[in-house]
Amino acid sequence: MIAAPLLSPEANGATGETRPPGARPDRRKGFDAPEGRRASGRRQALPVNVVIALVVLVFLLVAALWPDLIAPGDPLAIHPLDAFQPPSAQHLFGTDESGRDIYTRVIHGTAASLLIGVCATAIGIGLGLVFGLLAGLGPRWVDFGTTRLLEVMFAFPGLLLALLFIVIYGPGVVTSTLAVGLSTAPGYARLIRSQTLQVRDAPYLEASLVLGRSSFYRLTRHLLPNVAGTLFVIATLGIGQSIVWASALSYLGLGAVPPSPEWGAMLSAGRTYVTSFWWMTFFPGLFIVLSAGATTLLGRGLQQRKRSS
Amino acid sequence: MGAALTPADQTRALLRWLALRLVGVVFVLWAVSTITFFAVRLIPGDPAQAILGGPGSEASADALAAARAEYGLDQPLIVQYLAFLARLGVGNLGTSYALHQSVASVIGDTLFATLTLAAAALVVAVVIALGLATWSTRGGRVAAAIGSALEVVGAAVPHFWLAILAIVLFSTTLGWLPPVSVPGPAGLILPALVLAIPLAGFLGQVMREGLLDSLSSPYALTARAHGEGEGGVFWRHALKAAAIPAIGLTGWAFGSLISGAVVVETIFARPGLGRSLLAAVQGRDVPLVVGIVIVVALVYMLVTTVTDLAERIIDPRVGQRVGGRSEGGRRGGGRRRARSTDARYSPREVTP
Amino acid sequence: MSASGEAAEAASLLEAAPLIEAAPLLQVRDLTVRFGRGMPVVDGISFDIAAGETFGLVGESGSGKSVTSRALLGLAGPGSRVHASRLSLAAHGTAGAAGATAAHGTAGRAGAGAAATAGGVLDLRQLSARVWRGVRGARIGYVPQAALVGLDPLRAVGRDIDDVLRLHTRLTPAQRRAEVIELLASAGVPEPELRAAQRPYELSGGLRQRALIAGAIALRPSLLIADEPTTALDATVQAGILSLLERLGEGGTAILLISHDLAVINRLARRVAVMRAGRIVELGATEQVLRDPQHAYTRQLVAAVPTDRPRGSRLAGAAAAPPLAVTAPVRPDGATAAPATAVTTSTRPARETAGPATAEPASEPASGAASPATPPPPVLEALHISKWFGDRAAVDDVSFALERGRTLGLVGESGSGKTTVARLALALTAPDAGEVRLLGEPWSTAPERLRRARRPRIGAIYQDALSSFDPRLTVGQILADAKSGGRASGGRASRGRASGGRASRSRTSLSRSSRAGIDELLDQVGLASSVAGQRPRFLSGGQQQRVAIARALAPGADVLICDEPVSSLDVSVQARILDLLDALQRDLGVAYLFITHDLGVARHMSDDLLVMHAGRIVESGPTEAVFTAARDPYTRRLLSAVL
Repeated sequence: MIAAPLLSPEANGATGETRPPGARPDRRKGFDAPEGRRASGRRQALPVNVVIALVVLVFLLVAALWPDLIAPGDPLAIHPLDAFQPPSAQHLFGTDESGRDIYTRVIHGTAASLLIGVCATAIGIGLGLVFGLLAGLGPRWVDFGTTRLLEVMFAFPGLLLALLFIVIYGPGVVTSTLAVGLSTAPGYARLIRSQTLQVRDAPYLEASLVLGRSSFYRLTRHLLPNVAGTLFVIATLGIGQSIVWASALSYLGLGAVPPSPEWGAMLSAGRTYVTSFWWMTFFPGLFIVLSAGATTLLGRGLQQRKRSS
Repeated sequence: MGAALTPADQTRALLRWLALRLVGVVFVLWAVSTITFFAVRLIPGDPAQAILGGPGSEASADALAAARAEYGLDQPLIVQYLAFLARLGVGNLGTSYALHQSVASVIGDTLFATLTLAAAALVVAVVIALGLATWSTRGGRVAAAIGSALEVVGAAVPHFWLAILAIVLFSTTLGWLPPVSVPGPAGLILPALVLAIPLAGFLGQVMREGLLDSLSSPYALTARAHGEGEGGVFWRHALKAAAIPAIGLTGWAFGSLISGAVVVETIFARPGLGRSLLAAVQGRDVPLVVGIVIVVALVYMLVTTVTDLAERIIDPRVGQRVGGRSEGGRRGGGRRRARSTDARYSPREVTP
Repeated sequence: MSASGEAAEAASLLEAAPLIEAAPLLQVRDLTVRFGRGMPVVDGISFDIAAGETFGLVGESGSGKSVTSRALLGLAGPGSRVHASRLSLAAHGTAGAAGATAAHGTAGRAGAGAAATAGGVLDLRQLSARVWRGVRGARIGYVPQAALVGLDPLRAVGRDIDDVLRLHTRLTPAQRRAEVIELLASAGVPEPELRAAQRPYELSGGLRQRALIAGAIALRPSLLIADEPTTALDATVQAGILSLLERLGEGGTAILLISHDLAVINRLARRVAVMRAGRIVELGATEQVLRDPQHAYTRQLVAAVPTDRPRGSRLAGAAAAPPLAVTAPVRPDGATAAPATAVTTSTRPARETAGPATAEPASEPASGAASPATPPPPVLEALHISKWFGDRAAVDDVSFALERGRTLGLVGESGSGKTTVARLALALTAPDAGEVRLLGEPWSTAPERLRRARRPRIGAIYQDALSSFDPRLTVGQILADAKSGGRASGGRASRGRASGGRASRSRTSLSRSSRAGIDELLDQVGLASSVAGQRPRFLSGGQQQRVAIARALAPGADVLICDEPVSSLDVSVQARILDLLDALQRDLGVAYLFITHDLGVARHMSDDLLVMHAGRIVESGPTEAVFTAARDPYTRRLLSAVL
């Protein structure tokens, strides 16, 4: 056997500590894992699902910002004679009970529907941030109190909190957005709390203390940026969820009101005709699925990227 | 570590935990009731008006006064609150404004139907999720792709849209099942399926990760080295490990099922708690909303108590882990354990 | 029930399996394992193991030894491709397999026994999955590498052992239960009935390893593969496991012992193969290989073992010398290492208080000559510190003094309180009694606000360097951040009287010198300046530890608390890190409080040594004195455990 040049200095660093091929550079001793895994390079091609998600999101964004570019018609124009037309070349998605073109309405409703999702998520994460950071960074009794409060909020599972909120403030776009934001907040708060605690106890924060850093410095330079890093992923995943929830409220007639071309409202209007004119509900629903699916795919992709790096 | 805990000690610890937990349930129930009681006072307008048919009704001043007296609305708020708690203590949830019927009896009529639906959906979801997770961990790429696709479906497809698809497909086109829920098992199939599919996506993902983790774990290697076949490793080791996170999600799943039930019961015109809740919300029937919220919260807490208990029985470490702040364990120097091998077994990455 | 039926069927299939003529127990020829289309992880290795022989396989991470062991079990893993011109296991001629059948005489053994006594040789390359299942556990026992996680955490310990019996024998559940207890007892597990019913996490690491061994030897296999059987265990526990394996070897079981630890191999194996990058570079009688290694890699491996290397000698060969090529000759003694910095502080607090455990630095004969007339205060001093957790004293009346430019070793097993001492020294936690003084001034008693300005004088490096870096930052950012925390490292020579450097000066030094200063820091620890742009997680373990050292030194530390800094590194990497620390001490006069569980490392690194047990210092003094003439019984036990 040939004596291989042992431990020759490598280009990477002059130390000559070679990393075993395929093994990840983590602390392992005497453990040679059979990982034929790709080296964790920094520039990887985007996974297919993320590409799909991005294409869909770009399309939705164009539809939201310049709807006339894709659907030049008037979403509110009534043509009673054309009522209940099935999908055709002329009416891509068919028409509704007043003969309005569903394709035009769906495209023009993109802005409102996405905005509801984004706003609800922002409200939820905003509230979650306040309570999560308070619990994670505050003194023990604040953490105790906040945690108990969150437990109580969790006892209003799912839409219950949102429905309670709507009972009090009445149905409508604004209240349903607020309601969705409010009912997602406890989940975000818990997530942010645990993230905060995890980062707070991370060895690198202690290392910063050893270097003589003040609490303020450690909070602003290490803790908050690292907590914020995960928030982006959480928010991406959350938008899809918010759109679905808000549309469910609209569908139940508690959100946006029918004449406006909002997806949930269109669904609500088409509810009575489900069995006979399926396209009235199918296409707005499809767009909800598309937007929620795309944000979810993107969020998952980001999550995996984070985890694998 | 090393401290010998006898089974009797463990049982005692478990019972102590359960007792504390039940106290917690009572506390949360009180908090939930209090929040809802005061929250509904924020509703603008005169409750007496609502009792007598809403703002549109032209009830006389006498009738309003009579209604106020009947519902105790002329009392000071604190008295009303205490009376509310006292009634709650004996299970009296008040009288529905709209139905003029005791809330307890309305809920009693509908609770069972909704719980049946939720339980059926949960079972279907677990079966789908388990089948999918099993298939996708052992079945290669196609199964894994379907598994991760369903994951996205679980997160992105609203119940109502799924319900519409199901009705169009199975009722309108194929004519196999009734579009409107009829009594009996046939009426349960579509609603349960619609509720179950998104949930199955979530559970399937969690179970798949658990299974993959467990199948590639060092103890699975030990079992294989003992001569255990893949089937044995799966049934005797991996399944249990995968069940724990799934059980942990059951409480959350129940919450999402109840929310879903509001939609699904409405679409399939199936009598149930969800539909009553929606009607109450639309009609601003405050006592009914409050009553349903409290009952759902109670059931939710009981479900999570049962699942937490199950988790603790399967894996007693759950109870020994100190949740949240970990200072105690950290000071003991546990963090930088010398020669720790645990760090190598990072959770296996799941790629779709 | 179907399972045991299946096993019996498998056993009968065993007899029909292809047989080769009689040979050594295990024959491996040109074994190659690759994953996917990658380079082979195991690349054409060949060796034999005779019946009853203990054969060692030694190598560092990534050398392919674990994959080899799993390939021998047919468990190389998904996506693996295994080739060999010969891979055979003799079915006959061992005291083990045949003896088991005779000794137990149960009907249940017939399945496994019949195959074992069939005679001939089993070709492991062409076994069906079903036949493999009959071989694993019955013919080849396997003690997995991960003692702490090798048992299913959700099942009682006894069930995992029971599995072997259930799969390969027809014993009734009651018989199996009795057998499990007996096996645990024979593996040296006290209270086997209780232990069998407990979950793995209720057992200590040593007991878990014993339970795993009990499972592996349940059917008296003729070959036992032990993959790093002692890696995660404390020294005294390690010694117990090794003597258990030794006993098994004497009982006639052939053992393939895989380890990175030459001492373990040396103690048990008669012959050894040295693996590197998937190949066997040297094979021979253990004694000869270790005493007179022929291959360059083996030589280096042997040289890298710090045990018995005198203080100050290099561990890594010249080929691997870091560019810190100041070529200082072997350091004569501790005192001359820090000549320039001898004048530190004008104030000289009384330090006669040091307790009985105080290490006396001047007692080493070699260092007596250079001992300064008026000794400066110790850079770090602990005066009777104690720390309680609940009713348990993690640290109990510990005193020591660390002089400038010297290394004070602190050894002990896990749970002895070493890390708590580190945290107390760093003032991350306050002692319940006693006091820590830094550079002769109050440290543990000062408020954090006042401590902050002095923190740059004391640094820390940990076992897990990676987790001590903010994941968002590059190496350059980490070092720039550390530099700005204290003063520029360039000012080290002139730091002299400026005790307690003020942070205000650091602001200017950062803006002025950041880039060049970082390059200088990296160069100091033997890293290329290109590393500055990388994130630590893309570096190797050794490189990460170098960055951690650079960070600790960046603000100009006088003392470093080193908490198991090399414990998770391969021995050759460990050697280079230790050399680096040594060289830095010589150049900069830094003092180290060096915490380790590894007595060899401690002996190599320390001028003085403290031995800690259950929170107390049980032995202290000059390192060689402790090693040659330990008074304390625990220390003696610890020393004897390390062979």
